[in-house]
Amino acid sequence: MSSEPDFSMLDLYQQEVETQGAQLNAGLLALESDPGDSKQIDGLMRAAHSLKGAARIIGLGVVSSVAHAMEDVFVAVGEGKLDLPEGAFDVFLQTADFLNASGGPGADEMPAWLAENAEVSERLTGDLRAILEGSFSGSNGGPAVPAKSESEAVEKPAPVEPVKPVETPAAPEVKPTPETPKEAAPAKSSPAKAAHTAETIVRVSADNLNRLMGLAAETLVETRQLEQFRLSLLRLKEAQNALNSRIDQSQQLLENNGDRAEFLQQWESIRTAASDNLHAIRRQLDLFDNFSRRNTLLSDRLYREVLESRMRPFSDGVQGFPRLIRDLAKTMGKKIAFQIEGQETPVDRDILDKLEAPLNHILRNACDHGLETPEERLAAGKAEGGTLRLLARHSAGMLIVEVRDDGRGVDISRLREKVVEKELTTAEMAQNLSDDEVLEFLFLPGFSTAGKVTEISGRGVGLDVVMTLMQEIGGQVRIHTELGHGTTFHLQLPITRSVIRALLVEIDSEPYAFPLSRINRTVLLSVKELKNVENRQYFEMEGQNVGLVSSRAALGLAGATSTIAQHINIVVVNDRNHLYGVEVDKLVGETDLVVRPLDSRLGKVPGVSAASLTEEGDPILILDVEDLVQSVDKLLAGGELMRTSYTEAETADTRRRVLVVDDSITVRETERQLLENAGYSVEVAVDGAAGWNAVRLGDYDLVVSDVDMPRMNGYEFVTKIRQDPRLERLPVIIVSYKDREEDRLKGMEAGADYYLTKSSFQDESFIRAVEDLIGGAEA
Amino acid sequence: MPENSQETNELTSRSVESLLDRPHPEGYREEWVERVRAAADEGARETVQLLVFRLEDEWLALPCRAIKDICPVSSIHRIPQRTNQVLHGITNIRGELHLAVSLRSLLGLNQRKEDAAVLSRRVYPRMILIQRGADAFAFRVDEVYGVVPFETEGMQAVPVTVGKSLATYSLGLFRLQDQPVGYLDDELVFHSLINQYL
Repeated sequence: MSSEPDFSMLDLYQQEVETQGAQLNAGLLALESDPGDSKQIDGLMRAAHSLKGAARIIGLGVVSSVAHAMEDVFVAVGEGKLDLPEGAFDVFLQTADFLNASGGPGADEMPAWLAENAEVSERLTGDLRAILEGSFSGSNGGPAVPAKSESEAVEKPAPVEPVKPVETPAAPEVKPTPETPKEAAPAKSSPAKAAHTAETIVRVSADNLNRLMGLAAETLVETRQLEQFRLSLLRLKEAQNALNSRIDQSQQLLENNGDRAEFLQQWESIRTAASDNLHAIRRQLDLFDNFSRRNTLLSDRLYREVLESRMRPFSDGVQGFPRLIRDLAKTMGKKIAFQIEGQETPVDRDILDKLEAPLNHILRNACDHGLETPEERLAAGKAEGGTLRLLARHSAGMLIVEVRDDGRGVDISRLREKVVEKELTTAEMAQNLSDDEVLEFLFLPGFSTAGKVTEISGRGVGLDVVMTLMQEIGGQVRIHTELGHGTTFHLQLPITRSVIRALLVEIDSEPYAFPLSRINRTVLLSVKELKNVENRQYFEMEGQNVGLVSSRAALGLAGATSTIAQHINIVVVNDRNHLYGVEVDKLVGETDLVVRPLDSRLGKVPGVSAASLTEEGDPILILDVEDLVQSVDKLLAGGELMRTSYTEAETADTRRRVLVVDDSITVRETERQLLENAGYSVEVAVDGAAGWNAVRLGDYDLVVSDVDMPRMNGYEFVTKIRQDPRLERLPVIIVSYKDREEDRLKGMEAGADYYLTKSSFQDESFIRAVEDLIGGAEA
Repeated sequence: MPENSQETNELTSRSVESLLDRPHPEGYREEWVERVRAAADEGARETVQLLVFRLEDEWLALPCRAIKDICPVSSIHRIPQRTNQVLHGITNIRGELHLAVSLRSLLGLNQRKEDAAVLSRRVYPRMILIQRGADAFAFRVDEVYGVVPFETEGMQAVPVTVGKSLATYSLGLFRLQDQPVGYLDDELVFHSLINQYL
């Protein structure tokens, strides 16, 4: 064991403390409320054990010995050799706090922290040893205790354990620190618990829910009518069968030259039956017509109601702004009256979330640059206080949000000069740009009109971010300004993101969709009109060169585009202010799509933003235009990006493969580093059960396993390996903290080839054992 | 005749009594003890409920707890740069989009002869949706037989002739109407799908 702390792996240790510390706290609280719960003891033992090992690896000997003492106590309790004296839980919780705190300091602060807490750790170790030996006199005990707990209070440096000084000297004998650690502990363990409940909960109004239930019940009733419908169709089918057999009979009559009167009678009955059937069909058609109309209406209502359940009033998303404006006005010495109008406007909760950041930017901008100081305003002949208004309303199926100020406005001629100054365009062109076009420059990255950069705004990142965020949710932003009278930011957004209007296309014989909001137009282009410049294809549209992107290449789909075709279908899309043409195989049509997120396990799929279903119920992918264009850019810039990555996967890894199984991240990473430094290829598993899954699937040359692990311990794991006919010859090394001979024998009995203790990391014995078993790193 | 009949009755009841009270033959009690004990054993015999289905000519089974849904075959949409030999794409299972995988590729089953032994009267290809926690996968099978309770005692070891991948995923073999049925380890199937193919 090295005496010098090695802080290179401190962040791993901190992670370990976070998980094991939470486990300790949770386990202690559970055990305290139910002392008979032996399962908790196991967990506590493991947590203390893991912390001990982790602390030892990075050289925190003091922390390690505290954890070790704690582990010993739990081991004794687990074996039934020890009954916990009263007051023991306070010591445990203090220990847990101490161990948790040890994950706090960074590498620089660690020595200082250790020095500060030397006494605390000594006392805790002492108390824990006393509990183990049965000599802990607890809180009921003799005169020594009150004195001790007093001295504790003095010893404790406040920053480490702020809970300690709360002790009341008035009643020291009763209980040293009963409440405080308990309160601290659940606070720490609760985030861990929250992480387990992955399901998010959304608020839905009770009315909305009631209406949804009503509609659902109605659907059920309506659907039952289908059974009636089926029955009457069945009757109709029987009638039709009867009719058919009559027709056959009449034919027979005809062939046998039967009686004419009989034939006429037969004929008449056929006519009646046919007209009866027609009548029945009409009635059924009527019924079905009604049914279908009601059902369409019903599903429409149901759908609208479900959409509404996603809506929140606009005010929900802007609650923080009045305070923000007030504080900003105060710091800048301005008087600002802030109003929010249209608070009740329903907004999709996704959009409401996304709206906050851009609005924040725009409002800050308005406060900083838009509105003048009281003096300036008075000088300009305006009221002393400025007004800033935030408005929301629905208009033509879109959500409109506006931020209006009555400040100084944007000086467009100044802006023109600035555009030229920054060499974004020529002076001549700048003169020809319309006011609106000039204002567009404000949204360029790094473009700021502010004279100075203030804390509030002016770094030229704000409006750029606004533009990006708006495009992300399929919205647009425009600026109206009047010099001296104020500026209005006009944001136009879709009311919901859950339904989009889209253009269906076919790529590599599968359906994809372009969001309509991003499409400029579609073009059918003759192949002859394509131009080739530097390996990129262009075509001309209204005097502008538009780059052509192959959707197949961008999506990484195999299959070359057919060169036989005379014409190609192109969807022209907006990306920022650029136009791109995306070549697709076929244009199918326009449709409404209900947007569904792609499975999160897939990660971000290049060029795809979401999924949906066609009317026929087939899956369809919605394209992410921006990403699509970018991935093609990357493809072209990086040369033959795809091909290289392909060959890389082809060349076989000749290194020997080792599977490392350990529940402690510190140990896992230590072993991984040691092995990778020696040139082996390493994969890890977090416990025995995961290891057992991994070892059956992967082709490993060696397994390195810990002993104490949740779900399946090392002995079971090794035994399972030895029992499997395909794995029985796989070399296994057990690496454990347990260094007693009986532990070693148990490991060897299970079938391990080597049994090492974790001190073997310090010298070469671990790597030597690996080399001994499977040879060098290269196969 | 009444007295006579009474007499007969008495006689009968006496002979019945003597019949019941007669000493039981050698080994009779032991035999019954044995039988009762065996009957109790039979009741307690452990069974697993497995859904039996067919892939090509291979009969396989997964525990019911892993099965979420069985439905008609639906089309699969490839996912650019994610689709691989096992992960085929997304598919619509009762209005929800799920990942579709190829169990056949996962198990390394080669496309083979057509004349697979058929267990059901009518054969429909189906989609099976398996779920564990938040992880769900759909895969296509050529036939679903149904849920069969198998006695765990009747499980045999996987023979060496079975392909390597399939052997890896099998816990053992059961017999159903003389057909070997591979009992798949659902844990390992999920583990492999999540860690190796996602």
